[in-house]
Amino acid sequence: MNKIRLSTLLALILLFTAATMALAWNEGGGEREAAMDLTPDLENGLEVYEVCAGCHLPEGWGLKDGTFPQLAGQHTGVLIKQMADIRAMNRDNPTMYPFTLERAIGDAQALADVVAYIEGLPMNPDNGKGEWAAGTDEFEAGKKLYAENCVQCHAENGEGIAEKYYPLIQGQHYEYMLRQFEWIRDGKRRNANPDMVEQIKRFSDDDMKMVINYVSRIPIPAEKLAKSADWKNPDFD
Amino acid sequence: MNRKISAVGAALAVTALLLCSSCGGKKDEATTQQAQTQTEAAAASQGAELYKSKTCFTCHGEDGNKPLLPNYPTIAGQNPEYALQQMKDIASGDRANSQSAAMKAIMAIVSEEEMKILADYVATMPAGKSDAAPLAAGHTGEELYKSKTCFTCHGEDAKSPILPIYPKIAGHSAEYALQQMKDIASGDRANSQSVAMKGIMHLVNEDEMRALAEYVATLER
Repeated sequence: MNKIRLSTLLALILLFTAATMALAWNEGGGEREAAMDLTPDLENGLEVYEVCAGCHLPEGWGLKDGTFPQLAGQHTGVLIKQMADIRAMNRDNPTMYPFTLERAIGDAQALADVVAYIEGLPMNPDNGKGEWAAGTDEFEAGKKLYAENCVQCHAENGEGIAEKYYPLIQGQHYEYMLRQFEWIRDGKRRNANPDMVEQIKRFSDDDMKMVINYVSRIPIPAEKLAKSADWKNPDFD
Repeated sequence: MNRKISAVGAALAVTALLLCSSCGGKKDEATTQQAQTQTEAAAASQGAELYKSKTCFTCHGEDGNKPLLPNYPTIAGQNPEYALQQMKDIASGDRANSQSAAMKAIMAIVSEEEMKILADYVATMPAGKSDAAPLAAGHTGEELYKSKTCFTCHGEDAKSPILPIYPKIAGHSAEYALQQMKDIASGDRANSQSVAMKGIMHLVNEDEMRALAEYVATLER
C-alpha cells in the first residue's frame, strides 16, 4: 500500500516537473501568439530583414563555418520562438540579443512579416558539412543514430514539425549544429526541449559528430534550394 | 574649496527656484522646464568639475578628444550608458585589459553617483575631428567593416550603435581600436557586452583588425 502511494506521489512529482519544464521550454502567450496569428506583409518583411542580412546575409544562408546559422526555409514558428527566447534571455546569445528587441525588429506585425519573408527564401545548396561522406562507417553510424534518436521529432529528412516548434535541420551548417547540440546536451542552451536533452544525454562527442555529420548531408528537395550556390537575393539589388 | 562653492551655488539656485515657483503668475510648465534646465546645468557644471578633480583630463584630455597616449580612448560624445558601464567594470576589475589598469587605481576615489554624473558629462562633450589622415576610397578596412558585420552593432557610420550600452567607435585612435579588438578576441577583455563581439572575432585575423582600426580612426566622430 505504502509502495503504491509512494510511486503515485513520485509519478505526480515527475509529471509536475515535466509540465513546468515543458512550460519553460515553450512558454507561449504575448507577442509570440500575436505574431503567429497575423497575416504577413512580405514587402515589409524584406524591409525588416535588411537588418538581419548584415550577419545572416541577404540570402539568409548564414556562414558555412557555422558562425551564423542558415535561416532560409526555417519554419516561422521556430524563428519567432527563438527570437522571443533570446529576447527573454531564455537562450543566451549576446550577439543576437539587441536585434531581438522591439526597437530593432518592430512590433508583432513586423515580426510576423520578417519570419514569413525568411521562410520563403530558397535554401543554400552548399551548406557546411561534416567530414564523412556517404558510405563511410562514420556516416552510416550517424544515420543509425539519427533513425534511433532524432527522427520522431525532426522527421525523416530533418524537416522538423512546424506546429510543434521543432526546427528544420536539413541543410543547416555542420559547425552550427554541432555547437548547438553540444550546448543542448550539456545544458548550456537553456531553451532546449527537455525531451531532447533526455534523449541525447548519453551521446559521446563522437556520436554527436557522427549524427550531425549525417544531418548536414541529408539531401534537400530541389524545389527548396536556390538554383546555384552563386545565387544572389534579387530583392537586394 | 571649489566644490564647496559650487555646492553653495547649487543650493542657492534651488532655493531661488523654489521661491520663484511659489511666486504666482508663471505657468507650471515654464517653471518645470526652467527647473529642468537648471538641474541639467547644475549636473553639467558638477560633471565638469569632477572631470577635473578626479583627474580624468590628465589621460583623456581636457576636452575628451586628445588622450595622453594613442592607446587611450577618446571619450567626448561617448554613449553615457557605455561610459558608465566601463567605469564600473574598470573599478570592479571586470574590465582589466590593456591600459585599463592605469585607470583602476584612480577609480577608488570615484563613487557610483559620481560615475553617473561623469558619464552624462562625457556624453555632452562635443566630439572633435579625428587627426587620422583619410584613407583612399575602397580601402580594405571599409569593406571589412561591412563583411565582418561590424556595422550591424556599431552602426554604418560607427557612431550609431544598436544598443546604448555599445560604444561609438568612429574616430577612436587606430592603436586603441586595434588593442580592444585583440583583447576581445583573446578574452583579455571580457567585460559587459564585449562577449557579444567575441563570438565573431574568429572571423577577423590580425591584419584585418589593423585595417579595420585604421578605417575606424578616419571616421568622423
